[in-house]
Amino acid sequence: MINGTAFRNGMLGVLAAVAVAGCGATRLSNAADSTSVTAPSGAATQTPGVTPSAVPSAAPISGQVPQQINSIDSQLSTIDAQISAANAGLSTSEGDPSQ
Amino acid sequence: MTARIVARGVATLVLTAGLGLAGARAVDAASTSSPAPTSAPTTAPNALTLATLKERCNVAVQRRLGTLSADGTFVKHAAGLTSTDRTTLASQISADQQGLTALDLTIQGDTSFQQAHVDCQRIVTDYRVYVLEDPTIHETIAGDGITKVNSTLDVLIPELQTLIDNSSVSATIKAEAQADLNDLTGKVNASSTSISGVTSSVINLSPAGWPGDQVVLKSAAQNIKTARADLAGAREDVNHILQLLGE
Repeated sequence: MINGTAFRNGMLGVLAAVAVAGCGATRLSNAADSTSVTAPSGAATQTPGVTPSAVPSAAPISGQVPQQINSIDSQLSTIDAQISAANAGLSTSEGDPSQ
Repeated sequence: MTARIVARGVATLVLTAGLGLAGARAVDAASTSSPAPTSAPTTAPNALTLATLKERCNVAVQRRLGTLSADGTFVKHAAGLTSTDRTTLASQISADQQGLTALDLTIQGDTSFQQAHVDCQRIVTDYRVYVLEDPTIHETIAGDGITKVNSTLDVLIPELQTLIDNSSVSATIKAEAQADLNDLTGKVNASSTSISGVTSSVINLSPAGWPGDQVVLKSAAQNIKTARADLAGAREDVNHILQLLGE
């Protein structure tokens, strides 16, 4: 004869498992909807001076991450300007002061 | 003006505009190569008098002083420069400014065309502001800047790892983010390798080493370009990771 308590507990466990599975399916669907289709770049050579795209924030990033990213972007802009200036110098001549 | 001179002017305008400065620098009349040391004319050519020569040499000095002044501002405000390199570059600029000013006084005091011509050529041979000092300063600032970005990314990478580990996204999305983070790490390592030793190779170049210096400068420029390209890819990886995690 089946123990009533055990049967009830078993049914409750089945119901709980179904509920968890349903939540997981919903989360996967949401994540898939928000996934970017842009493939990560694997090549070592990229176009310098690429403007960082805006990062959509579903939730604010905690910690120092935003500050570090801003610092990186600012520094990259400076680097690009210095590279341009250096290249200009490498492409010029000293000239003749007496002319 | 040649296209090269225009490019230098445009680059300078961009930089000075970025620092809130006005004005652009001019360069001497273009020539295909720096004047080689030859015997100076003992008599003035047709229309070139001693006074005219002195005036031209003075203009050449003033233009270079203007370039060095602008470079001094870049050195002063470049956040990525190490303190050691900042001090070194500032000292070099100051020495060149003092030397050129003194040379100009010498030229203005010359009493013969021949002597003035010889002294005038030293503006080029003893300083090489446009082809050596100026590119050296810009490459050092760029190189130190790349090193600083690498260091910042080295701090950011474990933070992104934590975000990935603690994220509630699916295992598939986490794997994709992890792949991006692995790529990011590889690019930072590659950038560090490319930039290693670059600034130290150029910062102490001197006019006495010309034209061999030019080879070093061009090699450094290529390494800087390669490192910068890797950082562009690393930055894209950061963006993609954050997008995947819904941040």
